[in-house]
Amino acid sequence: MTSEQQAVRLTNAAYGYRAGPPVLDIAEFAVSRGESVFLEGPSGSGKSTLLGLVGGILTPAEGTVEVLGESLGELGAAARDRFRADRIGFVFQMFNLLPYLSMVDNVVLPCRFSRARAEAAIESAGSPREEALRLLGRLGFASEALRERRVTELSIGQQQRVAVARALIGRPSLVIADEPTSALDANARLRFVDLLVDECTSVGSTVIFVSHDVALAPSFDRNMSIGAINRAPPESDDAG
Amino acid sequence: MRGRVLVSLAVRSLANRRLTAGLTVLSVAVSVALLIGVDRLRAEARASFTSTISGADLIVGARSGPINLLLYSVFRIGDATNNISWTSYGEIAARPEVAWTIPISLGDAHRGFRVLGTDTGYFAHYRFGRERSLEFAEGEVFTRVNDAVLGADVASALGYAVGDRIIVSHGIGDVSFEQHDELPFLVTGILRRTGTPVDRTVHVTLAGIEAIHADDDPRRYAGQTVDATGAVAGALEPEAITACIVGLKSRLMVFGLQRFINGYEREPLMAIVPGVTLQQLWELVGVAETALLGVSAFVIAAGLVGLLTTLLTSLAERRREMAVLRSMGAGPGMVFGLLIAEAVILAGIAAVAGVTAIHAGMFAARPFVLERFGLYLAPGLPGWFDGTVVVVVTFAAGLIAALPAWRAYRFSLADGLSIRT
Repeated sequence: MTSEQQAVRLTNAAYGYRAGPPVLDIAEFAVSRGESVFLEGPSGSGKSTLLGLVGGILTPAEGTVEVLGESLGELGAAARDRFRADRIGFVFQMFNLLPYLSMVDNVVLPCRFSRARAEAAIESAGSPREEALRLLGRLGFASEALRERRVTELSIGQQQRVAVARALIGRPSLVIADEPTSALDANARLRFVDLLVDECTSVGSTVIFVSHDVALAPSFDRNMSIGAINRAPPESDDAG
Repeated sequence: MRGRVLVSLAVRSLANRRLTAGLTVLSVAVSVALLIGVDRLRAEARASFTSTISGADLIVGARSGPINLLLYSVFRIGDATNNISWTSYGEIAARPEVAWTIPISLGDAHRGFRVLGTDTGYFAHYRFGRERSLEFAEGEVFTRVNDAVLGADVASALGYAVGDRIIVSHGIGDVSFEQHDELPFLVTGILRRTGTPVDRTVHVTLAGIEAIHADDDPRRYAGQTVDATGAVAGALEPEAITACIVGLKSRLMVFGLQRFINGYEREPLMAIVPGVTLQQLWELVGVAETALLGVSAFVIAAGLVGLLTTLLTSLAERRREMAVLRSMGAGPGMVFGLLIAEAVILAGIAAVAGVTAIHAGMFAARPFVLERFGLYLAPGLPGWFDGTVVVVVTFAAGLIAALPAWRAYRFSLADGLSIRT
């Protein structure tokens, strides 16, 4: 497989904080384009570091990190920020939304940081706002009244679905979800995961889903554990 | 594109924290209003003092301090320490270079307003503002011993009209033990408002002043006509006056006459040039003005420190927000810029609000300030000073916001995409 066909590829990538021992040392980790991958990663497994490397926040001390054909270690900080804005959508554990923006404005936000995603949204629905409304509709926010609500009045489950709409707007090639279900109850988790995977696959986005909840793994094409690919010893504290 | 996103995010983030943001704006706005207010009052007070007398070449009084002479003769502030004898006054008035003189006799009061004895030359020669002369709103000049002409404020404050009779008391206090209430004065005229101490003065004839101090019953002088010198020759001729204002035929003669008066041998006299003495007064008052402006500047600094505190304390709870922005491609530089933008927006709004409020407030307070302090505030639009203050305050806020912005920058580098609470 060439790197062009791969969404993510880490080769002998190592990273350590402040000249300490490496917290992450991965010989080989690859995700194909369009694939959905479940990564089991408890605290201290190097999860945040791995996502930092893939998201272009961190650069590897050794080895290479290629994302969507770009070797991120060779890009400058500003170029990595632009790359992230254009190509990657994120969903976090909680507090994804900016409390001072409406639901629709939260979803539109990535289009204001990235011309590429704004253009993709315009191509899809005519304008970023229309695309945001379309995505919100698909994610279960059919009623107009709900969309006008302040985001702080939404339930956690609703907030997470808005976050998915925001991650998906402008069709980023890669969606990274970091424990997005940990604040949801058991029933809502499975529904949420299926919705996320379905929406991503329907637009052809690659999904990397990190969680410690192995019950969710069957929804994905492939599952693996960060502990198994990380050669660095696990940390005892919860800084990972 | 990023710049516009930055500003719109900053605005909406501030709107979301409108209570703390509002209070911060309020404290900076109040401090800006204070500075502008002090500066405008200073300028208006100077303009008001300067416009109180014009066209006068010399003011002559007993020898004391020049500022003291100017204050009591023109501004009715303080009291004379000594008088000029009537004969000396006559000699000065008769000098060939003198075009006109206005005698001034002070020391009495009517219900808190000072009474000034003079002659009809006062109404003909006194000039204020840009060479404006006194005009009558009602009635006419005094002609008899017990006639009185009121300043506009006296008439409006005490509700007098032409034809009313008033009582003049000895001394300048509101309440006087020695009421010279035997001779009632008849109001013959009321002057138009001038915005000067003239408005707060009761003008009577020199003979009238003599009459209320006469040992015998002053009522026998009632109705007698005074001559051009304001006196009744032979009967009510003053022994002394407090000061006099002198107009010359030519400005070139000012220093010659001043030298003559200052070296006058029969009694110690002093002549001052009003503009020169006013300049000395400004030098004296300037220290206090500078101190006031300095204090106001410190109050602005305190307001800006409050703004700094607001931004710094907001940072801890906004680390998540920064991480979310980072995940969408905002660089740490943009996080830095966001905080600078917030500070600049807050300070800009506050400064403009402060300038607007003080100008509106001073416009609204004009009648009160005029009545209470005799200070006429010319209605004026914000000028270059106000613009400078707005720019400097906004710029200073952007500068000090570098501290919280730097912290946010460090946070966002350290936190990356991990969301901390």
